[in-house]
Amino acid sequence: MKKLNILLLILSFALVSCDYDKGFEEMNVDPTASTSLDVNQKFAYLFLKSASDEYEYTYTEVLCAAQLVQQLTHQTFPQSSIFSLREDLLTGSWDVAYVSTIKTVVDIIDQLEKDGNTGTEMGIARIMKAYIFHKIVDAYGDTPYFDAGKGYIDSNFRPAYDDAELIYMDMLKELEEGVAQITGSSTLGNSDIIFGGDTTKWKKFGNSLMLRLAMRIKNVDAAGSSAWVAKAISGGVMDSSADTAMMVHTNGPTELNKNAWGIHYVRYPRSRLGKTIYDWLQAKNDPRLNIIADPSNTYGGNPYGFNDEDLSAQGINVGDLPYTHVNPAISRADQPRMLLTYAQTAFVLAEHYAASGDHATAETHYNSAVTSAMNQWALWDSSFALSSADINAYLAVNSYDSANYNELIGDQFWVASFFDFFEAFANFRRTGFPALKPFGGNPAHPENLTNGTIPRRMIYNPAEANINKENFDAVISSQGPNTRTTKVWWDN
Amino acid sequence: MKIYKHIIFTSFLFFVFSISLNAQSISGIINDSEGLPLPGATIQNLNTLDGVSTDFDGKFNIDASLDDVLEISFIGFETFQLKISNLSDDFTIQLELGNELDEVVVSSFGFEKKTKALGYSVTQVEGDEMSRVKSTNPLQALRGKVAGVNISNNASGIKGSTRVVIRGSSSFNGSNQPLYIIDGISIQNEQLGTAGEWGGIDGGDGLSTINPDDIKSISVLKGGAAAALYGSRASNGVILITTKDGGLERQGLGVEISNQTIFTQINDNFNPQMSYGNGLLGVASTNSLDPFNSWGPKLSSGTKLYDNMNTLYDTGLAMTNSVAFTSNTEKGSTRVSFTNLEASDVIDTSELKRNSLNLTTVQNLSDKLTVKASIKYNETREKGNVVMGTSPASPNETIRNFTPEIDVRDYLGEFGNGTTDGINELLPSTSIYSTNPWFAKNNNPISVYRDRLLASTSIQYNINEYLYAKLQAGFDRNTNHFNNTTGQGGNLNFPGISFFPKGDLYQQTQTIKQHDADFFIGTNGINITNDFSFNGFIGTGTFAFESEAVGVLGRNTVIPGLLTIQNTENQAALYQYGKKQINSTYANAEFDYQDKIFLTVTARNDWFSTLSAVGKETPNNDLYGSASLSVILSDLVELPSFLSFAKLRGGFSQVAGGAGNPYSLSLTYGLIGQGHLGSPLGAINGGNIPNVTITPFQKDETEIGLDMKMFNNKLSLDIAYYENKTTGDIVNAATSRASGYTATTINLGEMTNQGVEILLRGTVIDKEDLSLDLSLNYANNQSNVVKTDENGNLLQIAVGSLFNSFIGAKEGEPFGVIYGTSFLRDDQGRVIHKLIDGVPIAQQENVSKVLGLGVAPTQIGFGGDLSYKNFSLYVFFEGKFGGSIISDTNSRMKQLGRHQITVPAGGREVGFTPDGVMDDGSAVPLVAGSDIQKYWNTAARFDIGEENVYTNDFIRISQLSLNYRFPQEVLQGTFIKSANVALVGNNLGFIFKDVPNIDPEAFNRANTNGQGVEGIGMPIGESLGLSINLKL
Repeated sequence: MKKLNILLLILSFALVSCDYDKGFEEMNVDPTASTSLDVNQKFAYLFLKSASDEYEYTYTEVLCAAQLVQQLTHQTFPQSSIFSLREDLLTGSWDVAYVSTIKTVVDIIDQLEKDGNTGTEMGIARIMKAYIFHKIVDAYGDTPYFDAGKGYIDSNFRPAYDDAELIYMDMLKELEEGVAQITGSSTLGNSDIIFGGDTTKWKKFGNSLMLRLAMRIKNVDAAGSSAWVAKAISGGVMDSSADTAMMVHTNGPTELNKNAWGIHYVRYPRSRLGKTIYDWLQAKNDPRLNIIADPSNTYGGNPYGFNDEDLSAQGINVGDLPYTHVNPAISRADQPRMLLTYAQTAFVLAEHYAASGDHATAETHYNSAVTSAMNQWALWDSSFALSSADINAYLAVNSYDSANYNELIGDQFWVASFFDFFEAFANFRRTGFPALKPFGGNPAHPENLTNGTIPRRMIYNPAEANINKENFDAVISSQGPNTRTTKVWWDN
Repeated sequence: MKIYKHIIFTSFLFFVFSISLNAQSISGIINDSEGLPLPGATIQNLNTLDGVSTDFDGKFNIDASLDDVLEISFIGFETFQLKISNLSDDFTIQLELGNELDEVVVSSFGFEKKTKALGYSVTQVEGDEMSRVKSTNPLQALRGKVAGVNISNNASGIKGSTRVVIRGSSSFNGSNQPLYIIDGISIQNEQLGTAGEWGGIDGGDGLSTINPDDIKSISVLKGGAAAALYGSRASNGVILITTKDGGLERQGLGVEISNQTIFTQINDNFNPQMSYGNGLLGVASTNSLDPFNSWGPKLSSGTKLYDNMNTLYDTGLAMTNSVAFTSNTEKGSTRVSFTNLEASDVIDTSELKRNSLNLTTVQNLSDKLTVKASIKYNETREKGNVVMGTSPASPNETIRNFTPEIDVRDYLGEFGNGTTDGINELLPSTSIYSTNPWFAKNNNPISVYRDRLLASTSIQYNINEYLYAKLQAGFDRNTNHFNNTTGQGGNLNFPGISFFPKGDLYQQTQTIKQHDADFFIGTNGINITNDFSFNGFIGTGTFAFESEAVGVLGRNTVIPGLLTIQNTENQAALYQYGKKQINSTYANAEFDYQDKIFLTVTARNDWFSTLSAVGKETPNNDLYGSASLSVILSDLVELPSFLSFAKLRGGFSQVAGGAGNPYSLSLTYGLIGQGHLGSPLGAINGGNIPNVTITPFQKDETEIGLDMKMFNNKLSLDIAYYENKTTGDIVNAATSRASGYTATTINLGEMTNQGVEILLRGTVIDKEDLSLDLSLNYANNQSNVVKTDENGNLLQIAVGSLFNSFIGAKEGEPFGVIYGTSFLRDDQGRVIHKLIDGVPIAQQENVSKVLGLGVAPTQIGFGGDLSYKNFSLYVFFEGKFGGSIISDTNSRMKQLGRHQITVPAGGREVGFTPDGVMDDGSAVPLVAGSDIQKYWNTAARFDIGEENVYTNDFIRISQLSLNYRFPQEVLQGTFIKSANVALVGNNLGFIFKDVPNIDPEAFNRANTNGQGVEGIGMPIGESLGLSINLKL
């Protein structure tokens, strides 16, 4: 027994003194991932993701915004045509941006700060941050901004919703400071997949975005608006089509590389051109009708305010859904996506000068804008290049009109922003143009939840009411209910 | 159905081996105290160590020499020793009923322990029971048999995975699945994929490849005290599977052959209305591309009606043939078995083939050295795995929707496979989402090849009389090769499908390896005093897990019909790797006082690689222990005479768990896609905020139990009560997406379970030719979510159905509630209706609430075993109570006018009055005619979950077997030692059930915590078949 006890003692000692977690720290390091990343690769991802996210684009831009501005329809998802509710479509942009682009741009700025970078790259990052956020604020109003995307950096799991006005002021400040930081060339190299390293264009992009934001707040802060417009113009905005900010897409190799509309077009074959834009283009004899509309079917646009049952009751075969498709020639995965165009910039400038009474300058910008918007389609396919004669003939009929510049510019901006549905929606809300009628002028749909009016915003993800309750309750009490009729700050 | 042809062949392809026995054999008969023969009693020659057991007539033959001593033993009887004084005698030995029950069960680390010494609950199910009615997944045979073990399966057919939850779930996000140990080695039972709400396939689980015929016994270690020695991985209990070795049953060579052929048909759960036809708002449809709306006019009496379900679904066939050879010598035993399974599902393009080879040998190499080794290899070939859920690739969804007068055969197309041209789908309606079921059935490109090698060995060396050393090691290696398609949101894009005609292909090879090694030193029973003895061991172990997956995703096939990855427009490579390890040290001590009081104490410390990181301040290891006590009351105090045995037991344990996945403590970056315009794209990996402070969760469990045997062991009762509590559960707490992430992990969750388990067994009739045994088990588990996260937020545990619903954890509620939107009700609980377009429409309440409990808290099992001469009849009933189910099938049927509820008693023309009240307080008016469609279109729509939540109580006839054993007289003189033929059946119907149109357990995600969600899977089948067993 004695021997046994000694043996047991020795053994117990041996077992207890073993180094049981030897090598565990090394083992728990993922061999397929890195703990750091070159900022250029983050930038490239940021640029591409800002231009095209299939989910965001399909759900919120196409199925909501494009129907609200009456450019496209989708009868399987008629909620933004009849103004009923389907939450997941409306929350798409908000849901996607924070966990992709916003998270990335916050991470980039954090890395640049840690690297002590206060130059061009930081400037570009700040411009991108403003670009990404302005779409979210315009769509949703008050939203997490100052603390957003910092779940890892600051362990802030439930950021507060910031006032849209404060966000706007900060975005304008970021643009001013960001543009100022851009000096000389950038170190992005071929990761600058927007401007190919041309930092002058980045400055123009920043100033043009500043101009857009400045004009957006015109109705709620006239003085601030003018001051920022002046800053943007003196800083130098885009002045030719070559300055347009856009993303070139390729047909693969992955879905990420593709133009989101190109993906959507294949996957959601019930998309149709809306009756409102179809009729508008047709009435104006606009050469863009033949570009935007599928020339192989000339049924006309899909009317608004009806679901499938209503259309069936009218004798429409909803299986065939006999309305004109978007032209497949502009629906390919390898076609570009506009981020902010020269045409949009020039229209806004035209509006600005017109409002200040300088109609001559306004007319110049108007003509440049229409010309650029017409020429823009050649970027999709060179066969869509229009001759100067055609454009001039169009301008002769649709010439600048100082007595009716608001509608003229608003309508043209709307057509020029086809595929950039969020921007068309924002400009419509601010200017009231085009003068869209609820349900495309058809009777109010009985399922509408908006008292028959065109919705003014998207809605936050209702899960926030559980997950981020305190902050969510606060924003609801300050901004108004989480409905489509609550207006965002500048929309007054 | 070519399998048919094989039946006749294989069933009778029995090759015969004869067995040789040595001369000098003596024979005898063993009877019980009443003179009835005892089959299965063990006779061992203590001199030669040879052993045999008695046959069905209690007879035995054994080799012996003069003066050898035979030891005769049988469970429940006193062991008897006999010295051989005359070799020519025929012995008749009567065994006396034992005072003590020396039943043994296999417990932790494979040790056989006396049942009476156990201070915790262990249930052992013998292999015969497991293979009585064979199923493609061996755990199916355990359903309802073990109190406190809740087994459910997926509505995914023969390849489906099985979910086993012991004594309730203990972790919000863990699998809550027990640890499976086969012959001392843990096996991987990872879930290899599950269907989401938008479709997917059940990828099966690790256990589904284990062959039921090779199982000798299964021990279920239910409580923490039983499982504590296995440490963190056993926080959900342990299922110990011991496979057959040669055994000591018979010297020499033995051959066992069995065949089981089972036919499966879909059950008759689906009961749609058959009186109204195709159309909308009472008007017949003129659109040939809308066969799914049964809102048309009443069908005239002569209309031919079709049972489309039985047209599409086939008779499934599963045939298992197995042959096993055993060899026993003085030094040890060896068993080799080969099993072939060929099966087709009720969708007969879904096939399963499996070959299993199993070699087990136990050899006593010397007096001191025993080696046991086991190698199990199996290859599984699966084809056409059926897609579940709402998916264009599922044949199950639209088949339920065709209106009564439409013959689904009209959609076969000229090629007979649901296509227009042999490749592209013949779409039955205008919706690309509504699949032609023939297309989905006949053009399914999914296949899975699995290869699995399980090897284990144990070497025991007896150092001296008191001490032994044992090394136990082995591995489980799985290679799964998936040929699949992928698509958005789980929709599987079969090439040719209208939803996405080009389709995608996905091929992946995944290798999962896990290794176990344990070394321990233990005692062989040390008598400290005459009354007091000690037994124990101390050990160290390591467990390592490694998985690697290499895949290629090809987008858009180019040449129609060519299903190879090269035939796609572009391809992307995928690679995944993970490795983790747990090192442990543990000790076990057992004290025995006079064989009447037993105390077992265990301790274990686990170290986790997954919780290790440079600079981590919180521990990466955890120490836990258990103590359990067993007191044999019947030996200590005077009890009423009818009580032959009584034992009180109690235990307490602590375990830790949830150490989780590797690499989750730090933020990492990776490249995304394949770059863009020549520039690489990189981003933060994953949507979770890593938390470096994570520690294992704690689970404490207290258990008491009473075990009684009465009336000469004719009646036995086992009652257990337990309480367990999980604290610091690692919760994936949802974060606001505005944080940039969707969740973070924190040690915050708290959950409790308490429950009662009762097992009652009785021998009602015990005559020479007639016996009847009954058993009843009952279990009730009450779980309670104490804390979800720091704000008490509702946690989503699993996705729900298409409605605004999910499976959640809410503080103060049981775990796994169905959470969703409900009807708007007034103070009196009446559903408020509002006139919309002149139709009273039930209103939705905007706030979600608990609509039911996805897991039934109460289950019962009732079995009867009747023997008459050579016949025996076995029936088993399984019931579950207190749960609910949310049903997509019923919702869809209501929306499309297919549900019987859409046809009021007097017909749609007469109408019905919905239950409830109008918003102005007035009575709800009659809803009739075309308004009925408007009513159900809204009431059953996706945004009111409550309408489609059903209470889900049921009692199922779960197993049946009618067995005939050929009498020994018939077999005498042949090479056959025993022969059995049985008619067997599985899932033969319901005594009652609450939910219409579906099987109450037609779950879509049964292999996850998402219980209680029916999402249009395969109809559950009823099986009947024939089983033949021969021993040579």
